[in-house]
Amino acid sequence: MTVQTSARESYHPPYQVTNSAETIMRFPFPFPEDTYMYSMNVEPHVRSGPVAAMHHTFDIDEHYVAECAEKARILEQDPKRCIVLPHMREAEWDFVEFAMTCLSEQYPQHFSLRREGQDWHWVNRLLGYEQSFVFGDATTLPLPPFEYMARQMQGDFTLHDQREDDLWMDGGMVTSQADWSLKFDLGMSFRQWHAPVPKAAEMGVFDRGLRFLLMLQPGKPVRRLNWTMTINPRLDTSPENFMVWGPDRASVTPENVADKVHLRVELQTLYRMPRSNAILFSIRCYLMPVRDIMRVSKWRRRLHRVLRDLDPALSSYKGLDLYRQTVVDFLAPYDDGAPLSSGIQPDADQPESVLASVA
Amino acid sequence: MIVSSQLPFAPLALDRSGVRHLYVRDAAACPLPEGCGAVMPEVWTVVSDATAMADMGEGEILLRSATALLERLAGRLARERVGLRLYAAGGASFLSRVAIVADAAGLAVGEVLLAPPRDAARRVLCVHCDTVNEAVEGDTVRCLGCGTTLFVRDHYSRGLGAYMGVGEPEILLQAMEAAARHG
Repeated sequence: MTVQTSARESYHPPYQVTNSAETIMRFPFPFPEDTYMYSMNVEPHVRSGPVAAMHHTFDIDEHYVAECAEKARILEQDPKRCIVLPHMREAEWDFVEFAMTCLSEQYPQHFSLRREGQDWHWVNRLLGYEQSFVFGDATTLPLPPFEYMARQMQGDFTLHDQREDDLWMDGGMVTSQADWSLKFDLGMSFRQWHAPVPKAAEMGVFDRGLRFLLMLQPGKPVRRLNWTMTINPRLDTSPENFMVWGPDRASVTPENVADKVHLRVELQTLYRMPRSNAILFSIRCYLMPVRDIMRVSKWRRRLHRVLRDLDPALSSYKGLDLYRQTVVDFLAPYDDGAPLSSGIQPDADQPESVLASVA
Repeated sequence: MIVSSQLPFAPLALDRSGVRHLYVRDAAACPLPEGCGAVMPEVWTVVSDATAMADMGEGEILLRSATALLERLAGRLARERVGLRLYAAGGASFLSRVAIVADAAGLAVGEVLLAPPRDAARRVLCVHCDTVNEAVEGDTVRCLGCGTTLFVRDHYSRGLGAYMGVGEPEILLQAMEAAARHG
């Protein structure tokens, strides 16, 4: 994946984000079937999968520099997007080691790590950072260890302490979230922070999910996809700023739907940290406008079917009610109803040209 | 199982596995825990009276305000050892604040017992500006900090001792009303 080395893109007004053909084809389209309902849909996070976004431990794509710049901007505006409780210090260092190791091994052209005992040397060529530090000694880094490293990665991260047979959200950096608040959910148990989600609890999804995660083993990460929709390429759809971005939901028209409405997909991966026994939860957000999804024939037809038949409670919870029908009406003429292959893979090598490009 | 982030309220009953018992309440009208008799808890009561003196009389300590009680409670719990059972009764805001003090002191789940709140006045945190709005009776409140009309979500943070309050942009309210009319 080619990474742009300057942040020409903007994830806040005036928006300016474009996706290359490669980025479109590697998008983790979230619907393996024509209908959608909650499920655990958890699988091992191995370095392979139906789309290239799943092929690395932490996916770095062409938007890396722009997303890191956006993250820094949000943290500047609202420092409470990064909070780590004091008892998570060991987990912070677990995270630093794991992230630096994975990135330097899997993207050696962009990142390097040299270790001599506790003396470490980190290079991030994409952001132009170079840092010598003593592993385990927070005073040798310019920021607290978790914050230092999480700022250099796309997506959100939370740290979960395991005690009393539960998982506790005891830290994180959350700047690209789908309407949940770290400062509010900090310290909550697994069931507590999921309490607002409709239907899933009665289906037993959370009980099974928690039992599964309590047994997560080091070196055996898992992943799942989650999704919602977002108007404009806005990473920060936080409740903190809902009064700022919420009105966008009323701005969708048949004329602008292809460019305004984005499928927002979270590639969620979970890791057991070896020293602290904490769980690292990585939430990597991908935003893809309807215009770009249109360019994969399987995806545009499946998206139409899923949105058309979506459970009203889920539509409401995800905040789609004001524009879902507009999207369905727009997509309908492009769906011939033909059977589609099971799974999320695009069944094509290149995007098609379906719509004229934006005027 | 019921999935909720709310505090675990239940009618109070003396827990005989405890060695010492402390009952705090924000009004004298709150009844003693069920089963008091041979074993009597120490009782702290808010009397909302600036002449009250916080000394032990009749086995009961009278506190001038909920804040005074909670400060005293924090000091007491810092000196406590294993075996204490803390009981609390009163309004929802008071119980939220008791839980924060108890959690800060490291009391475990079974060591804190909270009666069902005697009112529906909730504490609401404005997610936009971090102001805590006290004693919110209904499902909406105009935030004291930023003036936003907050809708109270049924999502409670034990750490903050408050429900989440989130505004709804005017244009969305209008659009939803219009959609409902044309349904």
